[in-house]
Amino acid sequence: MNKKIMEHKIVKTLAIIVLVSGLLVAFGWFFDIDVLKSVLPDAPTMKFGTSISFVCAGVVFFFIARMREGKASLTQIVLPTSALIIIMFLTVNTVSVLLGGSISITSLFPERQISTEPALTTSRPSIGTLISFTLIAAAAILSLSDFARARKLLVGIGAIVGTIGTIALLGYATNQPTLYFDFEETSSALAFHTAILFTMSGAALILLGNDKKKDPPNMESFQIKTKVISLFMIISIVPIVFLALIIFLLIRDFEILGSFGYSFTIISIVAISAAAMFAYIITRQIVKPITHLKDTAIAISNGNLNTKATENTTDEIGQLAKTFNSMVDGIKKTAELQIETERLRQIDKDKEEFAAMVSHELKTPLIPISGYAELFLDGSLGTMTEVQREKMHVIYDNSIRLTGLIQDILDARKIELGRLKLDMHDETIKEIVKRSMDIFGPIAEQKHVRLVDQTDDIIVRCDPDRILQVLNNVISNSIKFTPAQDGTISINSRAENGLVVVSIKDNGAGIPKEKQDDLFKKFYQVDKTLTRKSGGTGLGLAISRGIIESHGGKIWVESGEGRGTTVYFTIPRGDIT
Amino acid sequence: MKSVLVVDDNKDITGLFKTILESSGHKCSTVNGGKEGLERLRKESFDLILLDLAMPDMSGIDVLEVVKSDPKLKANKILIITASSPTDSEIARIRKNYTILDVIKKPINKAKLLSIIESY
Repeated sequence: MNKKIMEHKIVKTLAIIVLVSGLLVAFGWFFDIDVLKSVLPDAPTMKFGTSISFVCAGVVFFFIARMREGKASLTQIVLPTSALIIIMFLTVNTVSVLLGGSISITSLFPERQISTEPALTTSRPSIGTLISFTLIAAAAILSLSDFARARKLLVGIGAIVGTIGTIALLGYATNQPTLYFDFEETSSALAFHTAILFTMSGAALILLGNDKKKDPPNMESFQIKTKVISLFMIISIVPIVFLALIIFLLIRDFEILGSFGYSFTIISIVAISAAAMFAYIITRQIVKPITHLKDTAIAISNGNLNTKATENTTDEIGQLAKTFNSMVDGIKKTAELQIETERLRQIDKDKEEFAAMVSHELKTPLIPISGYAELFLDGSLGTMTEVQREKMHVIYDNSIRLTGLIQDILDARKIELGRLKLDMHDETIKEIVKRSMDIFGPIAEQKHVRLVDQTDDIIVRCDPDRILQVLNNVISNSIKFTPAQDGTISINSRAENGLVVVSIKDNGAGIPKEKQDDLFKKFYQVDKTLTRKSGGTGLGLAISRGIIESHGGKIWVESGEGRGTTVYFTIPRGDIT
Repeated sequence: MKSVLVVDDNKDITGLFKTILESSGHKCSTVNGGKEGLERLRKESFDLILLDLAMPDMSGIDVLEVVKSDPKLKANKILIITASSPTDSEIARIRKNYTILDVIKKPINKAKLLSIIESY
C-alpha cells in the first residue's frame, strides 16, 4: 500500500518536472527569452515542438497517476483531450516529414527560428520527437483501458523508451553520436532533450504499468464516462486531422501565410474544446441515468426496496429504468409475501398451541362432570328421586356430547391440516364393526331399529380406532334418520381388487341427489331443522371422509328419496395376502 | 383389591378416581403433583400408580425420569393417564424410554378405569 503511494508520488514528481521544464521552454519561445529555451545551462536550445511534447507528457503522466490514486474528476476530460492534441500535432508533423515540408510547430515563430543555433535550424521535427509524441498518446489511451493486459503494455513501452533514452543520454555524455542515432542526418537524431524526456517517460510508464492495484471503488462510474468521452474524441479526430491537413497545405503553398499557424492553433483549440464540450454533454445524458440506475440497484441489493429509478426519458435507458422498476416491484411483492407467509406461519403455530391447550383445558373439566354424573346414575353415590335421575341424565348426556364435540373439532382441524396420524395395525373388519355394534346396539334397540352385522373376517391394514370412528359416525347418522319401529340398518363387507368395501344400508327417507355431494362437507346438514333435534355437529361425515382418504380409500353415498341410503367406504387392504 | 396411587394436579380428577376405585372396593391414595407423588412413593408401596403427564410442578416425564434412575422406585408399576392427546410417536417414545404399563387417553369412564385397574 505504502509502496503504491510512493510510486504515485515519484511519477507525479517526474511529471511536474517534465511539465515545468516544458512550460518554461515554451514560455521562452513565446517571449523570445533565450535563457529559458535551454533547460540546463550550457545545453543546446530545446526546440518548441519538444517543449510541447514535454508539457503533454507531464500532463498525461500526472493525470494517469491521479487516476491510479482514484481521483478521477478531471482526468476523464484531460486524458482524452491530451491524447487528441498529441495526435493532432503528430499528424501535422508526420505529414510534414512525409512531404518533406519545412513547416512544423516551430514555424509558428518564423523570424526567431533563424536566430536559433545552426544545429537546430532545421525546423522539421526529429523522428525522436515524433516517437515521444506517439508514446505519450499511447500511454494516455492504454491507461484508460479496462484490461490489465493493456496496462501491462505500459511497462513494455516504458522499458523500450527508457532504454532508448538512456542510451541516447549515454551517447551525449560520452560524445558518441551513433548512440543518439545521429547518422549525419538531422531528422534521425534523437535530440538531447528528447532523450531526457524518453528516460523520464520510461521511468514513469514502468512505475504506472507496474501498478497491480485493482481499480479504486469510484472507478466504475468514471470508466463508462471516460469511454464515451474517448469515443467522441476519437470520432472528432477525423475532422480535426482533416482541418489540420488543409491548414498545413495552405501554409506550405503560401509561405507568406505562415502566420496562419496562429489561426491553426486557435481553430484547433476551439475544435478540441467544442469536441470536449460536446462529448461531456452527451456523456452526461448517457452516463448520468446509468449511474443513477446503478446506485438504485446498489440501494436495492442493500435491502432498501422502496428506492425507485427515475424514468424521465423514453429511450433505451428510460425503458431500462421502467423495466427495472417493475422488476423491483416484483421483488417487493415477493418480499411482502415472504413476510406475510412468515406471519401466517406464526399464526398457524399459535393456533396449533391453542388447539393443544383447548384439547387439554376443555377436556379436563369434563372428566369430573361426566364421571360424577355417571356415578350418580349408577347409584354409587346413593339413590336419587326419578326427577333427579332424569336431570342427572341430561348433565351426563350433554357432557359426553361436549367431549365428543371437542374431539370432533380437533379431528376436523387435524384432517384439514393434513396432520392426521394413523396408527396402522392388521385388524379384521368384523372386529371393528363388533366394537361399533357394542356401542350402538343398545341405542338402536331403544329406538326399535334393527342393526344387522353381515360382515366377514376380512383382514385389513388400518388404524382400527379411526375406522371405528367412521363406522360410529355413519351408524349414528343412520339410526338418527331411520324411522322407529320398522327401521333396519345392515352392515356388509366384501373384498375386491385389494380393497375392502364396507357398506352401511338403511331404509330411511333417503337423501335427494343434489344434496349428496354436500354431505361430506364440513358443518353440512341435509335438513337444518333436524340439527337441534338430532344434535349433530355437522363434522362427523367430513371427518369420516378425511379418515378414509388418509387411508387411501374413498367414501360415497348411494341414495334416492324414499329408497333409503347406503354409505360405502373402501380401504386398501395393504400388503396382506 | 388393589392399592392405587393417583398422581394428578387436578383435585377433581383425583377425587373422581378415588370415588370410583373405593366404591369398587379398591384402596386409593391421591397426591397433587409430581413432587408429592415421588415423596409418597418413597414412603409407601402401591400395586399401581396412575400418573398424569401435564402437571405444573413436575411433569409426568420428570417423575418417570426420577423413578428410572432410583433403584428403590424402579419396581413401581406405572400407568400414564393423560388428557392431552399424545401422538403415537410420542407414546412410542415414552414406552421406549421408560418402563410403563400403558398410556391411556382421557376421557375415561368408570367401566374403562375399573377394567384397566383389574387387568394389571
